[in-house]
Amino acid sequence: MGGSGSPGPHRDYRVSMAAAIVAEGLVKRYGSVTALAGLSLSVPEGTVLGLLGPDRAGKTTAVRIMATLLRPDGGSCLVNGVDVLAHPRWARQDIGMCGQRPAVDDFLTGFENLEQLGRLHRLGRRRARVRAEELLERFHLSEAAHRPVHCYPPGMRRRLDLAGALVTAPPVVLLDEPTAGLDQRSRLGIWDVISERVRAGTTLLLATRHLDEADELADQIVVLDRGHVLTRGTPEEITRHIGGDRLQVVLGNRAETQVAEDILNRVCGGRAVVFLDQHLVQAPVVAGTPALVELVRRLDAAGIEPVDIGIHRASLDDVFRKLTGQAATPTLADEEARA
Amino acid sequence: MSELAAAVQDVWVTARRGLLRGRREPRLLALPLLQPVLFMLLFGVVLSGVVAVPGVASYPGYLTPGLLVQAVAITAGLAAVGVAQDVRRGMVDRFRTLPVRASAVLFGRTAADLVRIAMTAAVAAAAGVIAGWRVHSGPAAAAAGFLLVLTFGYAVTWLSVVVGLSVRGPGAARVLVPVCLIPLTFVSNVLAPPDTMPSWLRPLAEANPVSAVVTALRLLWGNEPAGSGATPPSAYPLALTWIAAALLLAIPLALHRYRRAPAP
Repeated sequence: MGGSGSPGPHRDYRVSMAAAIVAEGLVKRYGSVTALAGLSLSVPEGTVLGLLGPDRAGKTTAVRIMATLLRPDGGSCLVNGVDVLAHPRWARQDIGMCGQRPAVDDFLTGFENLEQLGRLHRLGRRRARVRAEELLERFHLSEAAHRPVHCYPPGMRRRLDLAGALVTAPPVVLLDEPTAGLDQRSRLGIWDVISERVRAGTTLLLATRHLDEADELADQIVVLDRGHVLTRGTPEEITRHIGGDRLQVVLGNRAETQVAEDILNRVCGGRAVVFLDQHLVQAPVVAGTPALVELVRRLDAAGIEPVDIGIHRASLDDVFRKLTGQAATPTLADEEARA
Repeated sequence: MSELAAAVQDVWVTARRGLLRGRREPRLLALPLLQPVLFMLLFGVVLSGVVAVPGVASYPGYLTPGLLVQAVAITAGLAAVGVAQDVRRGMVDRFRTLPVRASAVLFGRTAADLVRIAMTAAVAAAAGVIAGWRVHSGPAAAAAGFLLVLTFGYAVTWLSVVVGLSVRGPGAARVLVPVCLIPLTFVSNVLAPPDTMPSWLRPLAEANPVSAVVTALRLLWGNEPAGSGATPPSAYPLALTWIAAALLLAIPLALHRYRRAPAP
């Protein structure tokens, strides 16, 4: 039933290791499509690894293998010292997982959802109920605890889903795009919860397509594209590699670009780039908001009224453009070029 | 907690989930409870004046065992939609990441479905009684008949679970289930004896497992037409063989499909 390795008091399939997740050469193919082409990664205990990539990069496949939901065609994976391929049921005791969609029962209340998961984790009725109440309070769901989940807005559903993954406070949590489809406020709420779990010592693997999310939460980032690792490093290393945030101004008059370039060079300390055809001037910036205020002030003093002005946040697209020369979300032309 | 006690608890928790769903979403019970009443009204009352089955004095008496089996099969077929929804909504993935056996989850789920099947059978029987159907055998045979219906429904539930775990989504299950069940239940002896059907259709109706179960039921309840040729010694093993074969095929297949359920 789900493989050998039945959890029991007298068995322990754990091997001692420093990293909470170790994947070696994971390969998964679907027919002629290679979803993972030898993914190797290691996540030290109590840290967050961001698995960053666009759709079809292989993130979900990697998460599903680590969560014991999918068997790879090759490679190995240990979670909290347990071989997830040899002893999946044992490994599941140490893993909490959230998929791309909140896996919650619409017709049950929030409380019933969590109590049910607690009981299936063998917490016993009383402990399951207490734990459900604790989690509902922690996730700010107490007021809605006894309402059917189909009444919950998306942010609350996702919080409940995340609470469900934490019923047993597992040492390893796998999150597959936990903020997909959420508004910014809900995203920040989820980030808070994730940060709190990591401070409590949980090891987290976060699959995401948002660079800002990986940047905010991850200690290390692995950038995936079509099953291959494009690059890996700390968020600072990745962001530095692509040049970080940029201050940019779009001008209504092409003749103003020289003046705007001079101003940007002064505000940002040089390295301004002009894109004449787009009437655009850009420069890398560290302290974005004060620099933006200063830029507005100086442009105004110079009598320049820009069409658009702002801070361009580094995005997954920037990473991909830098690493592959193509966007993360391929255009038809990109697809043809790759083919 | 021993492994067995834990497994029993897991079955109960997942069965409770199914039962709560039935209680919270009454629309899920609409088809199972209305369908036997409507079919009884249509076939047993509206058409009873123009239908004459050889050897049968009361058409509702002949019809009810068949409609009961048909209603139970249709209710059991709904399990496919529910399972496909669970896959689509990520619930199967959620359960699969828990240290719970696949068999516990599926036996729990089908136990809840069995309660719905029992409710359908009770409503169909009540509709039959109102239309004029009566059991002409003793209490033991009557109880054995209902047990046979429930066992048949349980087997169809497991087949439906296989379908639900194999199709691309709930929409496909909603189409596939009636496409399978309508011919299976109508090309049978539910409405009329196969020997009244065209010669090309008769072998299909006679070989249909639904016909085997309905014949066994009519024999158990004393509703078999006089001179039909069906006898208990041959009819019962045939019905039980079909049911056992369905369970032996569907349960391992459902567990296999569950362990390889696709991503939502």
